[in-house]
Amino acid sequence: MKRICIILALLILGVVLGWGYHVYKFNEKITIKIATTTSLHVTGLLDYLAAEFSKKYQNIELNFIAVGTGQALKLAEKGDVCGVIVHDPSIEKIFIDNNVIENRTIFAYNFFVVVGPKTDLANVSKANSLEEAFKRIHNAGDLGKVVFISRGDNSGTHLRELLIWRRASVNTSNKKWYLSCGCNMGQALIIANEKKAYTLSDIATFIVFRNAGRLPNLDILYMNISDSYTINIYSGYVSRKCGDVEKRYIVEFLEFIYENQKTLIANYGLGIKNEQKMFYPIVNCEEEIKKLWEFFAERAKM
Amino acid sequence: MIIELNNVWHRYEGSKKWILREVSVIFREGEAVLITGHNGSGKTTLLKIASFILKPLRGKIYVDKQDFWRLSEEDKLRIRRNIVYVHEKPIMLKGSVVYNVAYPLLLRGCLDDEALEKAMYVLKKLGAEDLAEIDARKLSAGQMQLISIARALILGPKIVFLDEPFAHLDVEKQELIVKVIKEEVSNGNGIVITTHTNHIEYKDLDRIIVMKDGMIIEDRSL
Amino acid sequence: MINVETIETITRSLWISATATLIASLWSMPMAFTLALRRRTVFVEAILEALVGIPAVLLGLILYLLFSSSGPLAFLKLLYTPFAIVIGESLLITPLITSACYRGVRNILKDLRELGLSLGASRFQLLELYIRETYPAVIASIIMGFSRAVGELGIALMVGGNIAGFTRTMTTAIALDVAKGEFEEAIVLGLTLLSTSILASIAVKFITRVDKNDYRVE
Repeated sequence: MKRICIILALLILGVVLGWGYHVYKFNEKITIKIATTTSLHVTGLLDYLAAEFSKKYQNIELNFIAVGTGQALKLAEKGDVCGVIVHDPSIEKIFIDNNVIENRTIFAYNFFVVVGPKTDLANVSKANSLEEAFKRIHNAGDLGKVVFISRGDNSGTHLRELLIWRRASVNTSNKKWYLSCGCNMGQALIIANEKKAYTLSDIATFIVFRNAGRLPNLDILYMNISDSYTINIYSGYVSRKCGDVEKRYIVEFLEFIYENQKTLIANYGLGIKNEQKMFYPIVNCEEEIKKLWEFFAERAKM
Repeated sequence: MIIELNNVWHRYEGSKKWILREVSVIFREGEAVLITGHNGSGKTTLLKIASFILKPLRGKIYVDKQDFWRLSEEDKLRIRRNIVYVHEKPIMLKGSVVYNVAYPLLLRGCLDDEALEKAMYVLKKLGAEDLAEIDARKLSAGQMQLISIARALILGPKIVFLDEPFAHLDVEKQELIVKVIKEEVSNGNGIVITTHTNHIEYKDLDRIIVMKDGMIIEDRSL
Repeated sequence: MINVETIETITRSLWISATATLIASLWSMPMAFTLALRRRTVFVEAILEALVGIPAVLLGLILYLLFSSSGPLAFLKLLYTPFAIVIGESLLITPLITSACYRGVRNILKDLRELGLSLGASRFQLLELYIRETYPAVIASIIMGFSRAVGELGIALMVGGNIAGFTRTMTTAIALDVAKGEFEEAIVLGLTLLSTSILASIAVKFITRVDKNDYRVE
């Protein structure tokens, strides 16, 4: 009996000490919570930007909460985060119009690409537009030759995919070759790799997973930097329900990213391999990007 | 001490069958009572109610004219400490045999040394002193029964309720128990035993109670 | 692969789950004991055992809605702190500890009560008796609770936010590694999780030296 009491006492002591430590850490800095998408978060870009930001503002701590797009904006709506960084213009527009988020800061873009098996039975590599690539997949699918993996989760990638199917005037409902996984980008790529199927992916996530050695069966089959339908735009917002003190700092962070695009974003992810860029700054084409944002905000309707 | 059951009815929660019906009976110090009847006639329940372990659904229990279940916690405890009920299938606590026998004394705040001494004394009386240091849970069924009786008697309670005490004992030990019972009674304590076999002779008893289907059909002095 | 951050994550995970288990035990044990002394328990048993399987993410969602800035418990400022995970996990494992403890002591407790009462134990002495005679089963149920807590993901994600250096637990770190495609790292971390859990379990069993002897005359 005594033994147990001693153990219990030690346990309680450990618990109390732990609490003390955490309370101490809690009060050290001002924390700004930012919601973002899992796929953006795993590229590591945000942690990198936050680290650079912290060099200048040492008493600020940026916490990223990575969830799905929908959830990220919901968190902003509920006031649980001060900022959101997402890349889905049509959903963003809804929340801007509903006064949930404000202060749009577009800071980067990259591309959607069609990835698929090297064998490319749908001949996507010969397509001249994203629309044509999808048409080819559709036709090859109906012939039973290929499979397409859709995100199926109302993410920006998913909505873009749906937009393209609409433009191509083809039907994907009830098709056996159209698999909707309801998963995030990384998982969709893994499934596509397993099934040697096609999917639409942002270039950054694809690079992350390819470099991790997870996609031996997939190649980029369609990538066209002049095809505006492939452009994926990243924006940061301030949550309206953010407290005044935090608001100042989130605004500073967004400005910081915007000001330092050339140095931070342009070179991110280029290491020894020095190959495809993961993100592009918008400095040289800001107006076009903003127009595209408006375009996609209106277009991608369910 | 006189325990009086007055028009007691009892059935268990969730059951439709009455285990005890219209039971009125008195138990007192200085008497050896045998309760007999078939399995399911209510003997065990009667014992549990008479020893204040169960509260009857209907009816009253009077201890020296006081309604037991209306008393304060302290009074109830005080009275309970004068009674012992020994289960048909005794439970041994974790520890040695002598610890088990000494347990009731330890509950009452008796000092360790004193308690152990008294426990050893009782064990000797029952011829079981060589079991003293053994892990109580490793005993045979018969040994456990013997020890549980020792545990019950150590306080010299005013009334002891033994449920099927002869069940696992060999003839030698049965006779020993009978001897112990006689001794207790002659010391002025009361014993109430249930059994459905003939292990004890009528000449050693003061009263016999026969039960059937939850009712007492016979209650006579011998 | 094993660096300072990983060690921090492991320590944090263990600390959070241990605290949650401690808290949950404090209210689960009395509940289990009370239930074990009753007769008509079918209904409560059924609910309890069903609740053991409550999806962590569901409980996490409910707690998020409560702790959210626009929720009723916003003033506690618990969201995205380790404390929220502690509360969530303690709620998650309560049905488990209660029902496991209950199952373990059910048979013995009624008999112990009878024995204790018949030998003249007071209310407090009865409690002492119960604990002394049943603590192997109680300890086992607590270990089970701890394992469930340390391995859960839904609550840590929803109310913790998987914030690096603050609310990242072993399970959320594994989920993140998987999301990044870093499967090897995920497996290593997963094995570490299982190992620490097993070690903790062995340590507890050793300290309390569980004795499996049956005491009943059957």
